[in-house]
Amino acid sequence: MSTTNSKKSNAPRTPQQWYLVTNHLNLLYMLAAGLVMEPSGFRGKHYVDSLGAIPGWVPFFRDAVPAKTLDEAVSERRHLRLCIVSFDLSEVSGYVQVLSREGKIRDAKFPNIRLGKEGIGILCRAPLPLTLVSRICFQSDEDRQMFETAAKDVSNVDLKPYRLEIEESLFRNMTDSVWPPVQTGKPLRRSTRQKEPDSQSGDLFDETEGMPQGLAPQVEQRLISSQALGGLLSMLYHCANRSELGVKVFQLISGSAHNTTNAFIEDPILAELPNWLSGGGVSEHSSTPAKLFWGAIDALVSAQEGNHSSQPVDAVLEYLDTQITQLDDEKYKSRLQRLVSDMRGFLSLGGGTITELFERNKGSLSRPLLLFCLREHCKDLLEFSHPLLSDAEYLLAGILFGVRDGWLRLPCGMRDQALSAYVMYRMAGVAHQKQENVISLPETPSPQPLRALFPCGAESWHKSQINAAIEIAKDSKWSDCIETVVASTDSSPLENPRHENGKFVFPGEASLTIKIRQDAFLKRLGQWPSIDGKLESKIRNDLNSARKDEIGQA
Amino acid sequence: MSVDRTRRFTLPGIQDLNKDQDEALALPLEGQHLVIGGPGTGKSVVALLRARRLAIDQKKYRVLVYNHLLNGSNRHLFGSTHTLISSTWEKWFRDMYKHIFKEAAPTIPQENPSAFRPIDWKAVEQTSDIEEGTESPLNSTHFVLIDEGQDMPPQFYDTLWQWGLRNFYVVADQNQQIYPDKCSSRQDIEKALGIWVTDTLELKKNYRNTHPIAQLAQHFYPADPASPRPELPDPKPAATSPELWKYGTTGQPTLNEIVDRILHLSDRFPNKLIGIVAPDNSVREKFYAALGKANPTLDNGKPPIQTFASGQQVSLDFGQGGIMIINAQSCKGLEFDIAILADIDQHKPKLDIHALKSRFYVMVARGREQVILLRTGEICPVVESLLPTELAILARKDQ
Repeated sequence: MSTTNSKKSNAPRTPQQWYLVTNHLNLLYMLAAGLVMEPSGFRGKHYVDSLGAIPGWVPFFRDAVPAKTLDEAVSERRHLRLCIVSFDLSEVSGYVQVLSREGKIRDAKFPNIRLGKEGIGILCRAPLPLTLVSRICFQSDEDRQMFETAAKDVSNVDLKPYRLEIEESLFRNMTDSVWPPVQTGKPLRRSTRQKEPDSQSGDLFDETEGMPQGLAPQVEQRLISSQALGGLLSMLYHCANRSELGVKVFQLISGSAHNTTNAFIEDPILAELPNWLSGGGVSEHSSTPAKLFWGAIDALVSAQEGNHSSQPVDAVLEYLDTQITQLDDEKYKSRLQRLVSDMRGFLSLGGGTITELFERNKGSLSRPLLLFCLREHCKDLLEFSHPLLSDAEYLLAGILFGVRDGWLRLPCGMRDQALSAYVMYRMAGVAHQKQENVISLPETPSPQPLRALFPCGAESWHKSQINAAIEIAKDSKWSDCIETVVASTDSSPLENPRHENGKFVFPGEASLTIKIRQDAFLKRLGQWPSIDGKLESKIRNDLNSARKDEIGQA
Repeated sequence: MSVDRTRRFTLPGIQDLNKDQDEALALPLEGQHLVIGGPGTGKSVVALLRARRLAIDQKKYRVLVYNHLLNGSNRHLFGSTHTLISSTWEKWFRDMYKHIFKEAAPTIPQENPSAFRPIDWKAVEQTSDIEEGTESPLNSTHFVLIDEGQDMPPQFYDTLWQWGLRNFYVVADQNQQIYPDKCSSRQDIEKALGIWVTDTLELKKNYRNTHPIAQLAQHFYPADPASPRPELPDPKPAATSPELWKYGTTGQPTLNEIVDRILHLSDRFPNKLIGIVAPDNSVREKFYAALGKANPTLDNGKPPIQTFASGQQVSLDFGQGGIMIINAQSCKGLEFDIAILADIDQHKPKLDIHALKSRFYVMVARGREQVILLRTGEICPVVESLLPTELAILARKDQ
């Protein structure tokens, strides 16, 4: 893997501002997708802008921007508004192309580059996480308002983390540089395990070159697409609040687990998740249901990457149909036929109730796939519960739903800030890993599911955890999670109270303790919608401070 | 077991709006705008998003729709974060007329004195001039958004213009006119509001329905060039392909069995709204009675079952999942998660193939995720001849 984090890099830490020229609707799309992408990432909704100049490369300008990029960004439709997004690339390193005023390109290794007086910017490999955005600039207040209004029309753009500014001078500071860059020789290719460029070369722009050298052929890897990974991570993060298994699985795949093996996962299909995520498919000795499940996910990912017009359910059904013909084992074959038939009839006048479907189709292959048909979006799954559904089955359904919706389709309510930053980092990482790009992005820590702060089992909760749980239960009005213990102060048995105006009155002195009912609390914690965002943030801060205090005392 | 059947309003994702819809949304708030598009192209969604913007900006706006049902449906689609100010266009017009001229709008007398008296537009034209020097009752601070704008007569637009209204946002589809002789064509609206032909926006891509449903709707497309035909990919067999079921004959399910299955379908999706579209009142009542009596084992208990007859004052609840039974005449502009077209062989305008096709076109496009056609054992050759034979477009479940 060539994607590294910049903790180990020697990149200088001085903030450098680099400008991307685009229009307000492309920017909104990228904010929803979490990535600065090449036009193909926009699924047919890319408006012409500088990102299309050399597909796969993001043009960043250092100071002045070419006048033509400004005209180009609003050329497709009259309602488009210009915007310039400022990026802080100080923690990014890797191979880039340096752009000259004459539109020529040369290899360089970022950040140790010299633009010289002829250099106007760089081309960086797409995609990049939006955590690198430092501010979004508009030419006028009207343009900014139009951008904000358009953001309010959609469910998946949250502008809160971004600084919006009006900076007219930025749009006046243009150059007459050649745009788009002149591509002499062979076009820039996607995969870039390149020879070390001479970033110290005195000859900045070789007339005959301009193209990267030694391009390696693209290596086929079975890695998940970035959007599907984003959806999957997000679903496993949210589903983790339902079970201890969920917490451990999320910690395992986000690299935050103490235990780095999957030995704790009993379900044979779920146990294949780490293998599959690392691009190695499922292990050779895996069971038939495991092969079928991950094969179905592969089919779903392929259909989405190929921009097929077929519905996700149809892509999965098509795959399962093929498998039926190839299965030798009659037991699996008949089970799969029954499952496919029930999946096909999910919106038809047959099939019965969900309980009947679950009873007819048992196991961690069948039930997640049935749910895949029975509910449409990730949020629908988070709201769903059924007594027949096991924790592993629920997590596998979460994986299917996450892959189907991808990060793009998740509404703002499912994108808290820490999760968003982590997902953007991972999505960009997997995209570069697939392309074998040599690029290092600033590492973003993995968030912890809320349930991880309240571990289940024999281990008793610390006082700060109990207080936090009580605060959540009180604030969320989960009265079933709290119980009040009244005891005499001298430990003697309490006399029977008398009932007065809805109150119990105890003779003598008594103390009152509020206790949390852990099981009920954890069950509530797993329900959707999750607790209020502000409350969650406060609880996390409180528990972090308490933890630091404990460490300090120790 | 109790279950939350709330149909939650959700804004579209940025990827759900296509470039044409982006453009329709970005039109200036002021001025006269016409957006044309077939069923499912997202005209109403765009109009409601515009209304939402006006509500956020605290402008004086009103959404006008053709009937009460559509008004109720729009209220659900608008969500609850802001209040939708909307009414049926005719009631609002009559109220405005009375407010301005202190008398009722002129109407056409009917033989039966208690019958509904339609507005006499010729008389309105002669009586609705605002006297010179008097302040216009409507002005540039008012915003009117009109859904299904083809269903209002041209004089309606002329009169509003005379009353001083300048901010119009009209969405329309000429192929969905209810009474073509009393409706406005695209050209009528353009002429009344002074909109250049080139300034009218056309929405071409189907937005609401799944591809299989849109393909079936397109099969019934009445082909009027004034409204563009929605763009679709080639047909492919799909799990959600529309289905044709036969019931009530030997070897086929009975009405009661079909009704049990509809209840099972509703039980699997408690917060989806299933619309049963009947050809007439007798079929509507037949299904309402059968659903009322049915009592299959369900996970979530029996869903709410609502029905609507013309003239009914009780409004329907589009905010809850369940089953809603209505007549074909009332279904235009409505959106159901699943549409069941009951007893398709019983539709009456059999002599007018164009009208019959238009009706099927409108009915099919009501289903967002699935459309199921039901027919009784009585084969009707005219209806049969209209149905597509390709199984990828309409799967036969009655074989």
